[in-house]
Amino acid sequence: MLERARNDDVRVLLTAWRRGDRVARDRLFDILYGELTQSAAAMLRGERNVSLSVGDLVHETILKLIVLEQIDWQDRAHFMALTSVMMRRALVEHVRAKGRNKRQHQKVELRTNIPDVGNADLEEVNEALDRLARIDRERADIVEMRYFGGMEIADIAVVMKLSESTVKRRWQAARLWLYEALQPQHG
Amino acid sequence: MASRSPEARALDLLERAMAQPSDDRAAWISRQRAPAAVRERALALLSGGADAALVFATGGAPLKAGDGPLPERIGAYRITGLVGEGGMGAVYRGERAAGDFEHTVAIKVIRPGALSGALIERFRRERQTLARLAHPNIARLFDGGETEAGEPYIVMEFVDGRPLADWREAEAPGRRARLDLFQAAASAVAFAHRNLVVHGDITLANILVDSAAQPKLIDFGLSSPATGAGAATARGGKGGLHTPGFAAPERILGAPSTTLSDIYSLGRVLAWLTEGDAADPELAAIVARATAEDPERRYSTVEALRDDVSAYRAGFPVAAMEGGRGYVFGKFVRRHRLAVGGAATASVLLVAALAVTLVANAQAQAARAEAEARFQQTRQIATTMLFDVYNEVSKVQGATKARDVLARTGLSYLDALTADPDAPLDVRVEAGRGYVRLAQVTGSGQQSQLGKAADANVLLEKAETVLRRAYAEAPADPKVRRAMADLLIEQAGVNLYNNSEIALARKQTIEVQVLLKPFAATDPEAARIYATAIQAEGDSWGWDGEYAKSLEPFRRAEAFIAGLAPALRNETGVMKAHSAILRLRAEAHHELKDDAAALPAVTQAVAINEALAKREPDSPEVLRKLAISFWYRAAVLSAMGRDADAYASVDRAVAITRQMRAKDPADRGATGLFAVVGEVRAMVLADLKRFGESYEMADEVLAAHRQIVAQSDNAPGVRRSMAATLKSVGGVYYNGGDYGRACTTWGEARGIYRDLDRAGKLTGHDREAALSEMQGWMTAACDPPRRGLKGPL
Repeated sequence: MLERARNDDVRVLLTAWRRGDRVARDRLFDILYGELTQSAAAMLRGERNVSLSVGDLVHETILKLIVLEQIDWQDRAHFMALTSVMMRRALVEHVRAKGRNKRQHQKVELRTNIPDVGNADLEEVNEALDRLARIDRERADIVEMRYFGGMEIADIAVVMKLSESTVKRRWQAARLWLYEALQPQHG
Repeated sequence: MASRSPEARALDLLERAMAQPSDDRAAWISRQRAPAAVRERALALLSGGADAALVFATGGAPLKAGDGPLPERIGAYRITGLVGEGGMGAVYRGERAAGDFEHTVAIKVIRPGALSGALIERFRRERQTLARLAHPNIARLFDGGETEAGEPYIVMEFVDGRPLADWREAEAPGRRARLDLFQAAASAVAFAHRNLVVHGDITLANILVDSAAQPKLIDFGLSSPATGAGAATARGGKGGLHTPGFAAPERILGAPSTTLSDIYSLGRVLAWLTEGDAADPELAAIVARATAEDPERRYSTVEALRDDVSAYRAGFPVAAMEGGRGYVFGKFVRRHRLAVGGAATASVLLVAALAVTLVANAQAQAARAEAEARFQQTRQIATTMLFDVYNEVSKVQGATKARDVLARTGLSYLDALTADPDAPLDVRVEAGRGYVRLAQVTGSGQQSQLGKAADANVLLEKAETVLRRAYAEAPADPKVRRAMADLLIEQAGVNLYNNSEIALARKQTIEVQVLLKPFAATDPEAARIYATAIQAEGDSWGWDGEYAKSLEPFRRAEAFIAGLAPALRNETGVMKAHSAILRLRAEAHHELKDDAAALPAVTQAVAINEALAKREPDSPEVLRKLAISFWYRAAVLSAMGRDADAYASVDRAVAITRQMRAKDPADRGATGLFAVVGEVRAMVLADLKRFGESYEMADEVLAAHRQIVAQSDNAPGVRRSMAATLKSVGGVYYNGGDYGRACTTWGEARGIYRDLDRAGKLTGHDREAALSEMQGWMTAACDPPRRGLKGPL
């Protein structure tokens, strides 16, 4: 559980981020990602034999914060945005750890109607997203929230202070860019 | 903007193109003023098209990470892939070789802790029920079990589709396609509710859409009791924290899921599916009704919601616009639920209240045993209501309205009972009998009835669907054979007397005899139906004018009754059949101009009916039979020239029927009988040269016919009957010297016969005897130079 002082920090940082301070967002992330790592360890200790997914861990952490009312429900959209960043980091770390464990034979087949490129490595997506951020930071943020965080257009619009239709078009365009970036000839 | 890189500018251009219709985007980009390199780059990116949407699905990253090792096998299935992961656990694709083909399934492994122990226990109990939910829009549940690690899993139909939200984003379906999809999804939920299963967690993620744009609902009956706001909002997404709002408010507060909470969720789905369309007050009203905060204000059933959406799409008035009609009804029902009273109407309301509760509040989390008990309760109520209560109410003349309410309520029960195609045989047989019974009281039979022939035909068709299937399954079962016989005898009656489908009616009467033969002489009910079937076989010849051929079946029926043990022979039902057969045989002799043979038969019929009237002095049915036998005896006596005896006999008949009509003016049976006997009285009065009284009677009779035709949806049988009366009454006017009225009356009869002929409903007797004879009269009496007929008619 977060300590009182840290809880106050969270509120201050959140307010700053809502005003548009991106540095505040990164500091918030640092605090909460630490929290995530701790609670992941706690959960794994508590439940042997259980293979909790990374996504579950992120969700559980955020859920705990909401239930404990350490996050103001009104700031839900911003916190989900934060979740998206955490999700991205956690997933990429997970994929890297898996690579180190040489468990390559466990090829994961996704939904049958997904084209081959769908099996592109998540690390490649991560790198492509970094490249997109260098071209256009906002579009990369939208992809992070939508693709990693599963956020609704309406919530992203709140965070980005944009209209929903703009967010939707921006997401569609960014998605096309990423798709093209992952084609083998770029590889 | 000039400082932006070419790549960023290509993205800007691409993004603006997204505002264009998808087919126009490439052309639109080519038209824009931008450096050629930027345009080409934008076009290259655009060519990724729909694949990009599939690769980068909303919340797709956690899936791609494929975290957690894949199990090799679960149960009998080889795991071939991960389909998705969510709050509840993971879904895998599994395969199993079965014969020559691979059986592909989806296997959901439920993460420990995701479902409470109670829920898992309930799921174990209800697995059979869930497995029986076979509907094109529900992913079928095949099996379930526990992994070695103790995680519960379920095996279900593999749906090659994607969640609703992805479908809408990738396909951008039109409004019509979206509403079609909604209706199909709602029909799946309605089907589940009829089977006493509540979904409990209808969200965008639980509605998959396949390549044919058909929805498939997954995870029926798997929702856990809500544990608080956090739990209710965090679940249900494959990827992230979804917008809360698909769960009903009472669920978030911890109430169990009900059909009404499913209706709320469907309302939210409807709102989401029509989001972004032009504002529409009617649709908004439908959504508002479905998602009302107070569950009692919502639609009471999914069917009601579907009907309203259908009405909206068809441009009909939408119930939701009226405001709280359902609410008022709900209150009304609740008020009366406790009103266990003696009066028939009170028990009708009580029964109606139970029907509403059964259908609307069926909850899957009730144990299967409880559902089963309720099912039995419904059966019992339906049977009691349609047979015992109805019979009691029928004894009270003037209770037509109460009978109408009983009939309509009964229908809602039967539909609930037969909605489950896997219901046990005896339940289906009972429901089939219920439909037959309902048809009888609605207007098929010749008993006291509500006079709605078209409705009765629909009910008999429902009965036939249910019973034919039962008969195919258990052709030797006496219960099935009896129910089938009841249906066929009723259908034969309708076909003979209402629809003029004579050959079909005869075939049905013979089928009844075959069905009952093995036990016809063992009990009064079978004996009665068996004799009635032979009687109807004979009568089918009579209705075709083939009276000579009808004598043999009538005598066969009489011989059958004579051969019965005395206890059976003197049983009321058998006696009733006996008098009817005697009366019909008399009619055949009379038509064959053998009145000497007719008189003893009809006199015996009168005697039996008088004995019955002593037994049951207030029974409308017995009064009816007595009136008929008096009437027919009069017709025979009249033909024998014994006019005074004839008058005495028919006067008794008219007096009885007048009394029956006065007691219950809405009773079509009494009105019809009054018309028949009144016609004979008018004729006998004319024979006695009492023309003033005769005209008066004739006018009353024609008024009664017009009333019947209007009440009977213009059924061919009743129009045919009216034409025959017009023909006779025209003769009365002719004999009285009122030639103008005679010709007008015959003209009206001819018009009816011609209409029937065009519709192919004119019998051989009508054409060859009735119509041609009347046309002869008209040629002689009505067409210039009006030579006149030879003597009175």
